[in-house]
Amino acid sequence: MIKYVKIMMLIGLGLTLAYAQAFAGTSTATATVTATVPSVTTVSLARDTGSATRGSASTIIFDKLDSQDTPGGDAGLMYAPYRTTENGKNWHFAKVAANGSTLTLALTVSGTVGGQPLSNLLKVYCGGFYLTGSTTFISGTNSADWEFASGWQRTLTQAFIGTVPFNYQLNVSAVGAGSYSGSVTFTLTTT
Amino acid sequence: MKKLTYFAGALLVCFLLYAQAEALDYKTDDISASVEVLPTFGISLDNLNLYFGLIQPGSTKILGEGTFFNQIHCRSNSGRPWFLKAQVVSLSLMEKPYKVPAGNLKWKVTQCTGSAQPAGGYDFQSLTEEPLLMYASQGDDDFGKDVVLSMQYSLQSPSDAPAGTYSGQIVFTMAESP
Repeated sequence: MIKYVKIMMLIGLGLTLAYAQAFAGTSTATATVTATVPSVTTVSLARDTGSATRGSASTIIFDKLDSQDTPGGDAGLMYAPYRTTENGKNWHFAKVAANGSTLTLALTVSGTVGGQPLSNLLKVYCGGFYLTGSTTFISGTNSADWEFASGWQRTLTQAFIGTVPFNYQLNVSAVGAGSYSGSVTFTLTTT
Repeated sequence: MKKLTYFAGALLVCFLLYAQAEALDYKTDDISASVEVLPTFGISLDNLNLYFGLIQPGSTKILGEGTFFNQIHCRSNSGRPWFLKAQVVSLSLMEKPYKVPAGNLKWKVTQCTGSAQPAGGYDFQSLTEEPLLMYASQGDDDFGKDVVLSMQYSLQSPSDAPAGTYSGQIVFTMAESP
């Protein structure tokens, strides 16, 4: 009887060892992550820090004819920044943040210059929509040529947080000497 | 009378000798005792919901800042080394197809009761969509010690993240294969 018990114990031990050998454990636990990003719609203007320091973000200064800045330049046009001596710079960086499904950035112009609506004289050149951290703009968002500021707009069907550079041109070919003022308003709408 | 005294004395001596012999006669029995220790191998979290709440685009939020957010408990008595890994399963926007990069979600061990150091030490580590080693057992960890990792988590919302509610999962796996 005792012998039988000992044999049984040995078999039991053998089974335990075999079980332990075959047991290669894996266990998992899953945590759920949730976060909510709120809707954001903001636009602000900043000067290109690489540009001339004249003026400020809230002003666009035209004070030199293109012919005074550029050899062979056009005396009927003024640029901000200057076309030659401030070449390669932008006047404004529009800081845009919109994370809805679509966004539209639009400009409206008011005021008169020498008896003419500023909207007929002011043009913009948009450098394109640059996502933060990117050195290339979103295709199709830049100006192919100077465009009238009045009625200018771009619509994106995506979220966008980044920068949009702008340069300005004023047609003074039929404007007498003097000081004039008007305004350009940037409006950002999202859906 | 004298004979009676000798007889009584002899009787007493015989009784004492018997008692002595009886005291030396003890019995032994073999008792076999066996105990079976069941294998233990498992992981558990004391808080499964990592709710970051409202995060502004481009900003970062930390869960458990200052102490810890939750604890991971690992236990094995197999005597073999084990490994703890973590991976992100798609942290994405529920309303439209947009996914937060896995690396924007990070973990940090603030305290560890195990015999080894957490992989990556006690700094924030980016998660990936592939299993990433968090801890490799050592010494007593393989023999039933309750290894507890106290955790913090951080989530950086991309600056261009569309508005909405994001949901995803972190899967923690404890396994004996590296």
